[in-house]
Amino acid sequence: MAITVSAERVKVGIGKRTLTLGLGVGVLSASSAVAAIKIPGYEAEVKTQIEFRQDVYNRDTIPFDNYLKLDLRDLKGNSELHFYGKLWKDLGYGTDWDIDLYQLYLEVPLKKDRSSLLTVGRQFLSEGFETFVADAVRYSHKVNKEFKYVFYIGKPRSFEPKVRTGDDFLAGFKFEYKNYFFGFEHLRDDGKVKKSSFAVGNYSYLRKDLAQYSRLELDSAHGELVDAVLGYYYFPKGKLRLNGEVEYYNGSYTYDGGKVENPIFYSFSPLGRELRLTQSAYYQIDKNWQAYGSYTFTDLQTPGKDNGHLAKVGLIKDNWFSQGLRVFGALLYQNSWIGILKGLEVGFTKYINEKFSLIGRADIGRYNKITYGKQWATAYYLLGTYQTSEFSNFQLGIDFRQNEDFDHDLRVIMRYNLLFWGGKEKREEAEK
Amino acid sequence: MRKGIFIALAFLLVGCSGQKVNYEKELRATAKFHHREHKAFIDQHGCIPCHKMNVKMSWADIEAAERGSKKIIMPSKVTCHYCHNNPGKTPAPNAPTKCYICHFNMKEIEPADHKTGNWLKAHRFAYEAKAEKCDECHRQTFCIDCHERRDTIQHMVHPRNYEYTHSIEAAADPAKCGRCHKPTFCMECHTKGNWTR
Repeated sequence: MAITVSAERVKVGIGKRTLTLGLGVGVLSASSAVAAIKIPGYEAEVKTQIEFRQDVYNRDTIPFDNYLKLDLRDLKGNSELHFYGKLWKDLGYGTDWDIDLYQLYLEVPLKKDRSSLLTVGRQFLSEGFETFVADAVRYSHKVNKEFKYVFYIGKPRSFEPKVRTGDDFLAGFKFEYKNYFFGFEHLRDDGKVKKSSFAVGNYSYLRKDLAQYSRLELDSAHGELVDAVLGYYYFPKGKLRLNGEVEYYNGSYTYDGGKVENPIFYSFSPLGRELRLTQSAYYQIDKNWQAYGSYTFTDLQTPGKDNGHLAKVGLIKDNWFSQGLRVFGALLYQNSWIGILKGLEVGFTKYINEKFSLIGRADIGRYNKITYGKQWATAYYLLGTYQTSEFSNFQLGIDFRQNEDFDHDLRVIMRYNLLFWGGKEKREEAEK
Repeated sequence: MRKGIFIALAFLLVGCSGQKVNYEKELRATAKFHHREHKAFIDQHGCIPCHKMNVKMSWADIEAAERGSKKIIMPSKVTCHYCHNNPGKTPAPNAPTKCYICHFNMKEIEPADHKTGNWLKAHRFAYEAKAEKCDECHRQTFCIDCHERRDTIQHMVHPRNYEYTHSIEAAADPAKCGRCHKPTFCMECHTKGNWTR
């Protein structure tokens, strides 16, 4: 969906800055215009951001993104309209203006208490399987507190670069009873059946301090067990939280008849089966200190591939209420057949006063890969937020990354965020 | 250029940090209430809809009495959420719903299971079994921001070094990548050697 403003493929310098400023003002004026329209209730968030990059390729890349989230409420029949979109362009590369429309749907309650809802349009779907943004019709009915069902049909959309939305199709249903679910989804990709899966699972609190979850997915079209998960959450004390799970996952269904799509991607071994075990813990040491950690072991059941280990342990010092400061630090260890990474992450959030706050972060990694040998990878990030009004702020950030392979990458980020809302109250009208 | 930016930020930092801050007062999530924004409502309905006076108190138990006093002054979350987080049923469809307007220390209201270190992956099970529970705080746009947005400016999920180091994690746990990305996402860089939009 390209917008032809490319005649304006500006050369360099002032033209771009003027265009940027003009567009920023344009987005804000448009937002004010929305605010001026008399509608029962609306809430909107505007975000306009630009990044200037100086990377190793010396490309003059300047991504410029404008977001608008808009919810119109209490329309006719108490229906709602939801919009979320992005208008973007790379001012450096001189790409065309483009629009990503993530959401534009109407939510119509078929019953006054909203137990029965019909949603039509581009919307987010996640009903027990993968997540999609799809042009879809979805009907949900909450029969009582414990039983609910959903039916949906649509065409999935993708916002990743170069991903073609071909003859894709999606349809399914899900039943929720207490904390259990049973669902079915049929997915076609470019005219071919990708899967016709049944899934069943739960997320139940067995006791106040113990939750258990599970999921099983069978692809009836290919006769494959796609996914099996069993996990728990345990909170023996308010201070300690534990999570563990074991998962079997078969990603081969994403390929047609086991055909390898590309040898480079194959080298990362998504094809085939994987067994994964994850443990994680969080502990509140005292009023200020918290400790956390996680460890994942994977067994890649593909010839020639080894096991994987991913570990992280960290500490948080939270003095938010006494000093307006939260600091964290963590050690990383990752090991796979392609190499080993040892890393350090540190960061902070500092509230300076009601107008100004700072976020900082440093990532230092030392890795040893079979392809590149031993390397350092470092990244530093500092972001200041200035409150321009009670419901708007301006952010300025610097991101500097260095790596022996890519040399360096410096980025300056500017962002303006605005929240506004308005409309009429129902009770005022009722009183009249 | 780098030097200039750091100097500007240092000035900004020094300039803004001159005032003495009462963190306890300013950062307490429940203290963030905008009476001015509710002026029309207060003028019309008075204080009682929020500051209810129906709390039982006894001088025999002074601690309970103090708790009771707080209860009178501080409206419960049900009171606020009745207008601000009650999709489709709110009597005030003009009331904003963003949590951070009042709860600007979001960590304070985070549920216990979110803090276990594996929530990023495990949250799907909670959503699949009882989506309503998630809907109490989150709207669709919150999901889209991580699941669908491919924003090159904001780092939503991965750490900032990830472009350089991701291959080790991708080889250790390839299924994790496939949950959000399609193979073509990887191919964009791996076949051309650079990111193009």
